Amino acid sequence: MKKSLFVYAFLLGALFSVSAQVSADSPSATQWNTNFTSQTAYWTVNWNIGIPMGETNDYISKTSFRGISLDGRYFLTDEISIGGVASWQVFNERLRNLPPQPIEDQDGVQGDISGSQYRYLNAVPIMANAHYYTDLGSTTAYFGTGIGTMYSEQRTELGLNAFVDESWGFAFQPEVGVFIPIGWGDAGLNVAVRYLYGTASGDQDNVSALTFAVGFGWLY
Amino acid sequence: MKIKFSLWIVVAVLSLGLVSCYPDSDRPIEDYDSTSTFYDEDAFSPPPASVALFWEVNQVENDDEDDIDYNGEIDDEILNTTLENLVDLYGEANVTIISEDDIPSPTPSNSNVQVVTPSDADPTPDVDAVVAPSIILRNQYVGAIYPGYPWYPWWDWWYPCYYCGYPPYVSYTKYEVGTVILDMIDTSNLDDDPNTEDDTSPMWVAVFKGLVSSNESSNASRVITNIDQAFEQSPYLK
Repeated sequence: MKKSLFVYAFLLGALFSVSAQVSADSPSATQWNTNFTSQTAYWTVNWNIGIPMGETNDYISKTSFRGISLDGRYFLTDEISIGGVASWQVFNERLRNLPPQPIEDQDGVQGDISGSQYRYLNAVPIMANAHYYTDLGSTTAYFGTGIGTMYSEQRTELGLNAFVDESWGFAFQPEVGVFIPIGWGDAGLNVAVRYLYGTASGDQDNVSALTFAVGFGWLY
Repeated sequence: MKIKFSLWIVVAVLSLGLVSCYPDSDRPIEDYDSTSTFYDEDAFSPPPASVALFWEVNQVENDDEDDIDYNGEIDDEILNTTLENLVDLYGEANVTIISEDDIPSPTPSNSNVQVVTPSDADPTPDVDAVVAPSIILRNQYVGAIYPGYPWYPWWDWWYPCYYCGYPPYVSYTKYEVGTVILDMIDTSNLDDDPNTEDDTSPMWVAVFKGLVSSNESSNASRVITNIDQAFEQSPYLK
């Protein structure tokens, strides 16, 4: 966690430096006003915070601060876009003092295994999406959904043992968000709330998470 | 445009810095330990009422430079923790120590437990099961290293082919360096006839992975914790 906070502080510091450089290079504040009218594309890159829900919460209950997403959208009209999004969220949690886990019966031999568990879930959804935009004055709100596939890997490390399940499944992700111009040309803050659901096969649980995305958006 | 591109790079690279597939790589050593127990349900109907414990930790090695260096540093903890758990389960009167030496070493923590040695008039204790501890000093692909050889070099004086067919096939095809193993064998499957093959499949096996590490100060306490855990998660032993 300390490591994550350090990296995040570094990220903010680096962006502040870039911001100062942009301000020095930019011509005037009036040219920073940005809206979605007559734009052809909207790109965002975001830091994602994931809150596990449902079966995912049963496996890992800890909030994930390890996520990134890249979203590209093409405007069909001033209010509607289609595009695609790819993201990567890593959930992890250490669990101690768990009851012994039963081992699958083999030829009449039964067993149990105990020890500290390190659980990981890597979720990588890749989806096509569509959004509707509405002007809120100085900001632009949008809502939409993504539909596609998701690769997920569920890994439980118990002592020196690792139990791994991988799968590809169907995924969808409704979201609402807002674009906030901050005076960097056609760039601004992108803030969104997403609900991710993905199916999984085999012994792996379905993936369910509420995601808060904070990042930068660019209009072209 | 140059600034936009720079922003993209900064955000993308630093965001990726937040993400890694498997964080938490700096773990305390005890988190690498695991305790696995296996049992044959039929062999515990009924469970044993008396047991004998070999007072020696058998060192499984290849006698070459690839074996890890081990000089019995945690033998005391392995043997006495196992002894204490067996006494708790079956009672002092129903536990016997089998020692090659007349004076067992290390010293048993419970002096009330009977000790038998090969020099005794009757060296074969009348017990339902025997427990044998081992420690793996080199990665062992089981079945390939000791096919048909007695596990204990001094074991001939009691059951001629006691460990023929060892080790068990259950679950593990490879024992890793630093693994400690406890085997419990049903003595009713054994006989004194060297011409017949005994069923030496263990009725219970406890496997402790990762117990012997370079951190010698923690090895002893972790052995005790994990052996206690093995008995705790095996309520069917009695």
